[in-house]
Amino acid sequence: MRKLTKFGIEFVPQEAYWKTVFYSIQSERRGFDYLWITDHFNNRNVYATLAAIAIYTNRIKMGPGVTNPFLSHPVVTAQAVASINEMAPGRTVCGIGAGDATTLRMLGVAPQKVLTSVKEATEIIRRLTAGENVEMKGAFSVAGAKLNFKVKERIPIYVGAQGPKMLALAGAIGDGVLINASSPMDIQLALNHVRGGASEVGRKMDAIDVTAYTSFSVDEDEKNAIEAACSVVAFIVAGSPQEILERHGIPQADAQSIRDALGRKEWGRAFSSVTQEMLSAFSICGTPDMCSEKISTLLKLGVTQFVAGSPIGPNVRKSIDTIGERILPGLK
Amino acid sequence: MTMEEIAQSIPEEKLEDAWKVLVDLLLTSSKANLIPVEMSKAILSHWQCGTLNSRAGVQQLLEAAVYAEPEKAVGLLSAKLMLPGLAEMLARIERR
Repeated sequence: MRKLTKFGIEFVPQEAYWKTVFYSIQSERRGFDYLWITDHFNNRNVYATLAAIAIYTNRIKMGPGVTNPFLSHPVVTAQAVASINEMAPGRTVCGIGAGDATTLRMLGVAPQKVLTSVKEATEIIRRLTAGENVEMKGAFSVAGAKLNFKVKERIPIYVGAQGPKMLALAGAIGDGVLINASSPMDIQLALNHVRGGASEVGRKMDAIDVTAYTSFSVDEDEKNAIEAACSVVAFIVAGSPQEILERHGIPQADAQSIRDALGRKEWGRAFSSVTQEMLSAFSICGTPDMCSEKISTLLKLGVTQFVAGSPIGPNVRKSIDTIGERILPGLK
Repeated sequence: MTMEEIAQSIPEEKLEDAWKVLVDLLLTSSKANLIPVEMSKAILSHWQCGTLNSRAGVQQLLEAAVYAEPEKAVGLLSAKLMLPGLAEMLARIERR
């Protein structure tokens, strides 16, 4: 069975709530299928943001992209997505993963048993939102938990993944996988792990919404699109392990130079040190035609949902319009 | 002069440019959290209903702009929308 291509967009709720809602209304109108809202303790709360979006939209699906089981107990996450589903019935999804190491570290949280925790959290959220009474003793202790209200629709759970083991786990248990990568090479490698995980438990890839969760920037002027992408790519390069940098032919010294500049808050120097190789490895950016071609390549690999993640473009409002007018019609 | 009167004075053919210029000013402003919640809700309602480019929608945007970016709003009315007279009126409201 041929799968229809779906398009998602990611927003970071770091500014006044109404801006994220504004962009969400616009994204729905422009034909996006999914909204993913990031979950970091130092931004606006993901579920408060989703609640506001749910009220102002009618069709688009939405969920945390992604939450983690280390800051929010999975029972609380289940309660939260079930509540959002009451406001957006049949439109709620839940993305869960290992969490952002930097922000977790700020809270003194050192994730232990990451794979087991994500696996068990997924099971707890799935069973609670299905109306079950959950008892579990593992990474989480749940002694007879049940929601006091019924969730009418099934809430699909997407596993956010980058490393081989988490990707395989996503293939084994996820309704979808959110692959945190932008280049065809990384997506292809990731897909191999997802397939391996799915195959181990006898699942077919048709059952999994394979999502490329990319760093994206589009503008009619290529230079503007690149300039916007550089700030995000600089942080990705700085946080990437050596193995991934080597895979893309990025010298360790270049990455270290960006790390040092970011550490000293020399933003201009850090962003101007981003090379074309780095942009190609860690983002999809350029004119609408350039972006369409790159997205097309990912879809041919087996990606079933494409997510335009931060920064989206130099002017987010205009970039959402550009995607809706110039990119989606050719790919949907 | 009131904000409603300023909005009424914007020529019909300038409304489309006006809402885009003002909404971009607000969306890119780091002071957007200064906008009262009732005002932000009114903007979202207009946006949801597709009436942000109406006279009433532009009036909401102007009111919000005076809260978040008064000087820039006056400058944009004058420079980008070529409405120096209205910019002067807006500046007087801002000073009040």
